[in-house]
Amino acid sequence: MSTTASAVTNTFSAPGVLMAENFADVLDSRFAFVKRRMWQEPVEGLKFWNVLSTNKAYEKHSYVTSAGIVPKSRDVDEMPLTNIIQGFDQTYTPETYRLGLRIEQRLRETDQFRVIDKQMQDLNQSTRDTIELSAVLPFNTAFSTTVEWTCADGMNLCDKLRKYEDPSVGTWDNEETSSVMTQAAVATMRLNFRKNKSERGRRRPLIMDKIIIPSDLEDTAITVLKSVQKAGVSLNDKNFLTEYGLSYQVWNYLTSSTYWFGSTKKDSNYELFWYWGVKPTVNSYDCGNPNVYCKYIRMVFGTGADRPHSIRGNVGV
Amino acid sequence: MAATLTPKNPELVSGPVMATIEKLILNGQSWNAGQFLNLDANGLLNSCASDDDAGTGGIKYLALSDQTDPGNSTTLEEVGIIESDHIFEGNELDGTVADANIGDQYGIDVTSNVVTVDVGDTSNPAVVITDIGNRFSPAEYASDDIKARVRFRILTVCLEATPA
Repeated sequence: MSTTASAVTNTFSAPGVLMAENFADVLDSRFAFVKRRMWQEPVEGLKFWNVLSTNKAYEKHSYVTSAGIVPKSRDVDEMPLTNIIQGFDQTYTPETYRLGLRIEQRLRETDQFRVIDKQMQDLNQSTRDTIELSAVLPFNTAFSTTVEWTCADGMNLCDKLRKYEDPSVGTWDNEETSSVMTQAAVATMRLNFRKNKSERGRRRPLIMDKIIIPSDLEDTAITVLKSVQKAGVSLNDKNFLTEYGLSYQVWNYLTSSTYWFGSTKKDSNYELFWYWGVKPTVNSYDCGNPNVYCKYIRMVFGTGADRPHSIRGNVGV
Repeated sequence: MAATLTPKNPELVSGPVMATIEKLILNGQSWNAGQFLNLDANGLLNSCASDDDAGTGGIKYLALSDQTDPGNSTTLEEVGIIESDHIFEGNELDGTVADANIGDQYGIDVTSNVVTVDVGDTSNPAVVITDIGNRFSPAEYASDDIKARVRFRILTVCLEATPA
């Protein structure tokens, strides 16, 4: 059997409407087969966000610190008082995303393979892609120097020298010392979750639940988390990580092959928020020409983080 | 994360439905789908070149399909008619773009049959930038992208330029 490659060009025009000039193949009955590709892929990104809805133009979050330590004070003394400190504010402003598709009627009528009408489904796919890319953006830029997405304290998702709300306490970080993902490095991250501190610098231990990795690190994660004994050494010591119930989750949209993250369970302290203003909806619209078929998809969402203590990151090596 | 993007020809992303018209091709001309076209002094289709502006025939049409040299000037080709409300999305020639570029007028570059916007060229204005990649798709583009994505429209003086 022999094949002859006949795709001689990958140039195309994009006149904002699907028209016959762009799709000669779907009009040509000599082709045995014109496929519209459907990719099977999981929705991944929203797993890592607290997903909420709002019908407001914006949502503002703030928080206050806990009180201080209770001092010794005799009953006859004046009552000692505490002072509550205001935390960092964050404003979540859902933004509107829209994408339209226009198809020349004659192209639909002459489509030999019924693939053009199915292009509507691509609007849904575009929505999923946008959601995935928006969800992963803070993770992909977690260690970058130029970052447009920042947390309530104005810093990256993972960063060093983050200010405590009480300035006298100094700084904290949720960026680990860069390291290959080893059992020791995962253990250090887990320990650092345990050593998490409150806005006043008091111990507020968090329990690490999983590591989030790019697909490049899946083999490593299996070795690190699942080996019965310590991996890569000749000792017969037990792999203590097997006792902590840690799991791993591959996020295929992570672009770095080395970044890896630790996360707590999604509870009320997990402060990465995804706000839906309007979930994706497909509608028709009138583009002023009755013989041009017009559909569009629209959604409204915004993302942000208050205090990202539930995520720790390692830039890897 | 900065990336160096690979330029491709401008895509219409907003505006009225693009009407089309059949025009004769100037002998010797060839182009790729998606390139901008204008007319020579005899009203024949000509592919736009770098620095084309209102003084050199402007920008009038969008090539809908690849065209090889017809070897004559009697061959008709269907092309898209560009209007002033048409917004295109394409790449900057070789650098980054910033908010300050929005609203300013720049020339075009045409290299290897790919049309880009040259923000280093304010001497041959042909387009006005209306938006930049990291603003209209922050999940996709970064502010420090090289050969950055921009949205632009063609200046009316170029659409209405005297054929040259």
